[in-house]
Amino acid sequence: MKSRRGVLPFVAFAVFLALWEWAVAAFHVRPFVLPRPSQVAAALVAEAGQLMPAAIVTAEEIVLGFLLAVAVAVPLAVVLVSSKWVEDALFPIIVSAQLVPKVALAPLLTVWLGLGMTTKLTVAFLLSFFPILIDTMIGLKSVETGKLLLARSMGAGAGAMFFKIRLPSALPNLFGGMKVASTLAVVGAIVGEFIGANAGLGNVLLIANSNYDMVMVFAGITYLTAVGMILFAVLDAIERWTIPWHVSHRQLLEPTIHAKS
Amino acid sequence: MESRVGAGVGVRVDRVSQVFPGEAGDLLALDEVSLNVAPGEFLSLLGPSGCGKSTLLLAIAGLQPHSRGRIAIGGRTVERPYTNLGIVFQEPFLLEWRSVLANVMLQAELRGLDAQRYTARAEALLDRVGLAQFKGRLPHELSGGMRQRASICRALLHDPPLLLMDEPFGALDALTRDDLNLELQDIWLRSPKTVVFVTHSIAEAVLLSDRVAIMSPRPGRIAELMTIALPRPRGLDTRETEEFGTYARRIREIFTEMGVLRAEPVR
Repeated sequence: MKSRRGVLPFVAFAVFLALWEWAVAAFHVRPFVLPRPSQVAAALVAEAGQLMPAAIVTAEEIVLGFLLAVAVAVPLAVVLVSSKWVEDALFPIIVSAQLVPKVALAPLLTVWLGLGMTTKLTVAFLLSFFPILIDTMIGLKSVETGKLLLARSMGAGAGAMFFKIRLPSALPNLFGGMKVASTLAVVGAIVGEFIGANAGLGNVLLIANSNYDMVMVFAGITYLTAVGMILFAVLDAIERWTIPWHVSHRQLLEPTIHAKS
Repeated sequence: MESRVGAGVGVRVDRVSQVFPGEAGDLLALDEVSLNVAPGEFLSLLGPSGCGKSTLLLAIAGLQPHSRGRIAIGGRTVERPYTNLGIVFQEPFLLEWRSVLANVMLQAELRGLDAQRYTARAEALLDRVGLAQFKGRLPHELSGGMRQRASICRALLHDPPLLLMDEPFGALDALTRDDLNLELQDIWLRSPKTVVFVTHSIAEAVLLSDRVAIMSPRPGRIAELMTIALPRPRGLDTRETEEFGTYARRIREIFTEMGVLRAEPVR
C-alpha cells in the first residue's frame, strides 16, 4: 500500500511524458512551439554548464529572501500576539500593506536597489513574508486556554509559558506558513530576474524565449522547479525532525477518498 | 474519616459573586456563594450546566478574578493564581509533543522541582493507573481514558494539598468513568488531600463525596449542602444500596423542586 502510493505518481508522470512525446511526433508540432520531452531531457544534461550556475544564483536569491522573511516575520508575529494593544495598532497597517501587489513593486525596487541580487531577494522576501507572519500568529493564538491555565497554576513564568507551551503549539502552523512561503519565494526571485538581470534562471529563460529556443525554456523551467522542490523537501525534512508528533498525527487524519482500497 | 483530618488544606468561599459583563446586559453567574471545605474533605459541586460551578472552581484556583466576595485557601486570601494545588479539567490538555511521562513531568519542570526524584514519582504514579508501559507514547496514541489518567498523574505529581477537578470524567464512556471513579477514591484514600470536584452526575457525586454542594441554575447559589455518610471505601455496588438510593433520591427531589428535573414522566 505504502510503496504503491510512492511509485504510482512516477508511473503516471512517465505515461504523461510518453503521451507528450508521441503527440509532438504524431501531429508534427514544430519545436519552437512545443519541444519533445526527450529533447528537453537531453538539454538538461548538455546545457548544464549554463543552467547550473544560473540555478545556483537563483537558488541563492530564493533562500536568502526566504530566510530573511522567516527572520523578520516570526519575531514580528511574537510581538503582535504578545499584546492586544500592539496588535490593534499595527495589524491593520500590515494587512493594508499586504494588499499592495508586491510584484508591481519589482520595477521600482530595481531602480532603488539596482540589477543585483538585493532586488531579487527583496521581492522574494516581500512575497514570502506575509504567509509566515499570519500562520505564526494563528499558531501562537491557537493554544487551548486550558493548557495556559494549567501552566499558570503550575507557576509558569512568561519565558516558560512561551518556550514550553506557546511556541511548540505554533510550530505546525509555522511550518505550514513556511511551506507556502517557500513556493512564493521562487516566484519572487524569478519575477525580480525578469525585470532586469544579467544572471540567474530568469535571465536564461528570457533570452531563450526571445530566441524561440523552447527546448532551453523548458530546461530552465525544469531547473527552476527542481530548486523549488529541493527547498520544499528540506523544509519537509526539518518539519519531520522538529515536530514528529504532529507529522504522525496528521498522517492519521489525512483524508483518504478511496478509503476501502 | 478520622485518619484524614488535618491532611490537605481548607478552602473558604465567602459571599463570592461573579458578574460577566455582556452586550445584552450583565450576566450574574454566581450569587453570593459561601462554602467551607474542610482540610482533607472530598466535596462535590453538583449542578446543571451553566450553574457556575466551573466558574467557582476557576475562582478558587485564582485563575479568574471574581467580582465580589473573598476566597481563602489555608487562611490566605487568593488574589492571583494559587499554585499549591493540582487541577484536572474535563479535557486532559496534554501537550501533544511530549510523551506521557514528559507531560506528567511538566508539573515538576515548571515548578523547578528535582527532575530525578520526580521522574521516579511520575513513573510510580503512571504505574499505579496502569500506564507504566505507555510512558514513552505520545498523547494521540492513547485512548481518552488513558489520556485523562495521565492528566490526573500530572495533577498529583507534586502531592498537592488541594486537588480541583472540573468534570474530569465527563467526556469518558460510562464504564471508563466508573473505573476512574474508584481509582480516584483509592488515590484520595491513600494520599489524603482536599478535593473540590465539579460534576453534573448525581451518582458520581454521591459515590465520591464526603459532602455534596447542590447548586441552583443560574445565577449559581448553593441550594443545599448534603453530608454523605456512606462507609469507605465505596465500591460500585454501593450504588445499589438503600442508603445510596436515599441520598440520590433526595438530591433528585431538590433538582425537581428547582425545576431542573421534571416530576412526572414525559408522555
